[in-house]
Amino acid sequence: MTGQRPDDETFLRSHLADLPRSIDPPRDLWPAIEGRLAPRARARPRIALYRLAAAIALVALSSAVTWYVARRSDAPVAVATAPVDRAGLARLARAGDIMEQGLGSSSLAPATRAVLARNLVVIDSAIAECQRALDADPGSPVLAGLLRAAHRQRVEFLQQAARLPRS
Amino acid sequence: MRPAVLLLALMFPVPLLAQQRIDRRMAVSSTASIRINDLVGMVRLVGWDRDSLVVVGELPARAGQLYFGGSTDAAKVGLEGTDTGSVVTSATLEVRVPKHARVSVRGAVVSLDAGGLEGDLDFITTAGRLHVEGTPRTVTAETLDGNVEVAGPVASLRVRTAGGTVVLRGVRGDLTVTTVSGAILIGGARISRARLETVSGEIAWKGAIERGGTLDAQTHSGNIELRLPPTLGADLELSAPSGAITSEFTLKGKPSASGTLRTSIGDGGAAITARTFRGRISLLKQPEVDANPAAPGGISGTSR
Repeated sequence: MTGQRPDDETFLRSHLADLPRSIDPPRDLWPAIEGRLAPRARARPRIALYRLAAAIALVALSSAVTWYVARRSDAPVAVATAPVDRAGLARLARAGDIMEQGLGSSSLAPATRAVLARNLVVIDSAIAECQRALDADPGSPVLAGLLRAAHRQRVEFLQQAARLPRS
Repeated sequence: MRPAVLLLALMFPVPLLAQQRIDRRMAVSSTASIRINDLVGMVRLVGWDRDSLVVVGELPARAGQLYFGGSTDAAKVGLEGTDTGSVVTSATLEVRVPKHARVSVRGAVVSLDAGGLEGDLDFITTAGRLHVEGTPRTVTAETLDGNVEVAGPVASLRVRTAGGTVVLRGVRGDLTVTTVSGAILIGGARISRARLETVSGEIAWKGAIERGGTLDAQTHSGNIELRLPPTLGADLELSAPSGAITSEFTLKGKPSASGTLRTSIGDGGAAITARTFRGRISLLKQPEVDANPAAPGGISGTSR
């Protein structure tokens, strides 16, 4: 210390001139602070994004299946007389399975899920019954038509479920 | 002590009892698109001659706040901040729209009672029901458990339910009805094309099919009953692999080994296809003078 008072103007000016014009912060502390202040605020957009992505995927899948079903379901009378198309039946069944899986990750109310499950049991029972009958009579175009109609009803029902308002 | 508590309770009424009085109005064009979202309880939708959108009624406090707005060509009405922890069913709103407006209604638990509409109506709900009277140009309705009833010469109708019963009276034109377990009951119809499908429900049809028109009815385990005009000409394809086919019309030919009967009545013209895996098919002659032609056909035990 010198004998000068710290508030002496000459003293202050001489030291002020030695100071740097600006000081950079040693490192960016904000991300860590933000992370500690609002961890949920950072998590929510990610969950919302996942949900949005799931919804978009479900709609895209639904549209693709709609195109697939519409392409093949515009002639109901011909269905009963068409030859058995096992590959087509398998594709339709697979499309329904994928849609059902997609619906499993959506945000439907428990009561709605219960209604959906109850009705899927009805459709799946019809599919199983038609399949058993077709296994016993593999050449029956009537049974093949009924089985394909049941698969299509399953897909259309799942499409309806995908359009339901979220409560 | 207890009288004091009672006195305090009387002094401060429970907030849940509070009702919101709704009265909102705006000018819209006669063919405006009007979207009604997430309303709850019962909504009465009325088509009128004025170019105005009006919402009146009362909402319980926990039903949330009404939002209402838009332009003359597109307006939106709905609720936000609804208490999702409780199902509000006591709400009653009346929404008046220009009769030629295009109206879309969506909500998980909203039921709709519509009349006077001449435009397009689109309704999607989870648990609500739909009742429509009048002459909308098109009706599209999807509900899981709710019943759907449409009475009037709707030109184009698409209905889809899971467990809900579908009752249609006096419909015209183009018709598609699909259910999983709900019955499909149709009366007084005159259609150019109809596709009726259910998995375990029953199908009852009473009505005419235009010459060159098609009726396609299919159920997995239900019965199919078709009441047709005695003078109708139609080509028939009837399949009942596990059930019987009975007819008041004279049918030529016999079912094939797979249970399908292809035949005609009258001079042909319309195409009728009926298929049921486990049920039976009945063709009945509609009475010449029908006291109530718009009454839906009935299969005993299916009326609900």
